[in-house]
Amino acid sequence: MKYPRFIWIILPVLVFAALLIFFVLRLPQPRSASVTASPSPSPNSQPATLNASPSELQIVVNDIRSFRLDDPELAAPSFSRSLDIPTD
Amino acid sequence: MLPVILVASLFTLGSDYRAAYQQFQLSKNQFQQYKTESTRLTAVTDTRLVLTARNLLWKTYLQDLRGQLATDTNIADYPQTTVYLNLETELNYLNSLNFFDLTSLSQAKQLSLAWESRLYNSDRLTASARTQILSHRLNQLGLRLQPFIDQASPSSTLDLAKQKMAQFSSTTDLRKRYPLLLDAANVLLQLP
Repeated sequence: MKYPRFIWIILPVLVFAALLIFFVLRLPQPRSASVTASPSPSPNSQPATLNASPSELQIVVNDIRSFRLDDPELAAPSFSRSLDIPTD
Repeated sequence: MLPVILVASLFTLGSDYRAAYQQFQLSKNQFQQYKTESTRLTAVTDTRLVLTARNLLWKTYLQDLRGQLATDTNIADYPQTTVYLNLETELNYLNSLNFFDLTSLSQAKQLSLAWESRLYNSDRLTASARTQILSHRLNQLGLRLQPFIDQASPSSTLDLAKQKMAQFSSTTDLRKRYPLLLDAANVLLQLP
């Protein structure tokens, strides 16, 4: 079978393009950059940790609510305090 | 993670103790029923095992408390140091006991009575250790809550939270302190 002459020019180009597409697809996807608008800081602005106070306060409150005075991790093990061993 | 491991360890030792205790009860009943040398020897062996298991269970519990005192609380504090050192003394006593040399039930009974006679003071010691550990945890929670009070805008609700926190700081009884801290936290949540 005899191919037209231009096929010998097109074929390497196609192979190169296929390889290029293959490797480009394997590259890690860039993360989408999210832009959040934040108000410009005012002179009386609170520290960053306290700006998020509702959620952080809720975390502290939840920790306080889950506190237990009878923490089972601190409970003493139960055992016989008088074995009543017989004499020989 | 560490407390979980310690609880698991205590749980296993508790199971071992209960198994040893059941075996001891069985051997004791058989000895009291038949009074033979064979049943006596079995009773001595099983008494030795239950004494060892009980000693190990209590010793591990004291070690756990000592460990939590050392890691969770301020050991430089005098009352805590006293409790820590008393735990050390008690642990040294428990470590010094040797149940494997017991050859008679009378010996075992004598040693068991001596061991049990220390339990009253040992119980008080563990109660002090638990109180100090819990008190430290409460203080830590209070310290975490304080910045939210300091930064809040003035209001009557904030005044109430401040009042609760002041009472929390000045009270020593754990059972009274915890509700005060909880009240302060709940009041703070109502702030806009």
